[in-house]
Amino acid sequence: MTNLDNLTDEQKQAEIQAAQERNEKMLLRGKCIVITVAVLVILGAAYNVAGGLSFPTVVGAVVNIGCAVALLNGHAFARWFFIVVFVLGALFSLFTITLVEMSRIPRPTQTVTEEFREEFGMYVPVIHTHQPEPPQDLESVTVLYLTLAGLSVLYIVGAVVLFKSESVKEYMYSVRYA
Amino acid sequence: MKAKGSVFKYGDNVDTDVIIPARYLNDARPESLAAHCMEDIDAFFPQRVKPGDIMVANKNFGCGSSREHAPIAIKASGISCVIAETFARIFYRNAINIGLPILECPKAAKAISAGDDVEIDFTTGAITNTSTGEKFQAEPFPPFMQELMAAGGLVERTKKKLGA
Repeated sequence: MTNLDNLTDEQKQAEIQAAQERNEKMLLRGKCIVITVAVLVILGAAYNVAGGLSFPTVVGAVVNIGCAVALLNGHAFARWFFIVVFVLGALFSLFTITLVEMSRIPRPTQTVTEEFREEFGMYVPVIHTHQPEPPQDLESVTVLYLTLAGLSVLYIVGAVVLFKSESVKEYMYSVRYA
Repeated sequence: MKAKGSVFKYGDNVDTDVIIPARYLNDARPESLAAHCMEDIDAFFPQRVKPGDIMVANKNFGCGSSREHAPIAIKASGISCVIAETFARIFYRNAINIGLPILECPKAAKAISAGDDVEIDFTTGAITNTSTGEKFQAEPFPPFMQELMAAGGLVERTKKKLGA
C-alpha cells in the first residue's frame, strides 16, 4: 500500500511502472491457468468421446469444449460453469469411491427375505440391486481408487483456483474488455 | 461550467489497467468501479478523493486498453476534471462520451503539484492554481462538447434529445 503524497516524481513514476509490471505478471499467470484448464477440459472431453460415442458423451463434450473456448475468451459464465462442474466432479468421484467400497461388503439380502417369508408366510420378492460388479483383485481396486482420488484432487484444485485466483479474473476481464 | 478542487497528481503513461484493474470489471456499476480506482498505484485514492477534486497527470494518460470503465471509474470517484500533458486517443474520446471533462495543458500539468487547489472554467479553458496564483490557458471545449458533458455524456444527451 503506497501513499503517493510522500513520493518524489521519480518515485511516483517508478510506482506506476512497478504496478504495470505486476499487472503483466498477473495477466501471464492468469493466461497460463486459463489455458491449462481449457486444455485439460478439452482433453477430458476427447477422452470421453473416444471411449464410446453416445448422446450424453457427445453433448457433454460439446458443452465442455464450448465452455472451454468461452473461458479462453473471458466470458464470466464459463468460469462459474467450471467451478460448479469441478465441485460436482469432485463430489461424484468421492461418491464413486464410497459406492465401490460399500459394494464390496457382502449383504445378507437373501437371508432377510427368507426370514421374512417364514415369519409372515407371504411372498416377498428377492430384490436384485443393480450394483456395479466391484473389482475384486487388489491391483485394479488400487488403480481405481488412485484414479478417482487423483480426479477429485484435480477437480477441487481447479474449482478453488478458478474461484479464488485474482490472476484468472485479471486475464479473463482483460480479454473481455480489451 | 466550472470545477474546483484539490489535486491528485500522477506521472507519465498511466494506463487503464492502473486506473481500474481488470480483475474488478466483473461489476460494471460506477460506484463499484470507483471503489478500486487507481488502487494499484495509490491505495488510498478511493478513500481520500472528494467530489470536485481534480486529477493531473503528465504524458499519455489513459493508454492501454480501450475500456470505457476507466473514465467511468474516475468520474464516479468524484473527480471533476482530468488535466494532462497528453491523453491516449481512445481514452480522450471515451471520457467525452461519458461526460468526464478532460483538458490537455502541458504547462498546467507540469506546474501543478499534488494537494494544490485548482479552479477550472470550461467555457474559457482557464485553469487557476489558487494555491500558487498561477494561471494557465487550455483549449476550451466547443459549445456542443460542453453541452454533451453537462448532459452527463453521449447516452444521456441522446436520451434527452429523444425525449424532447
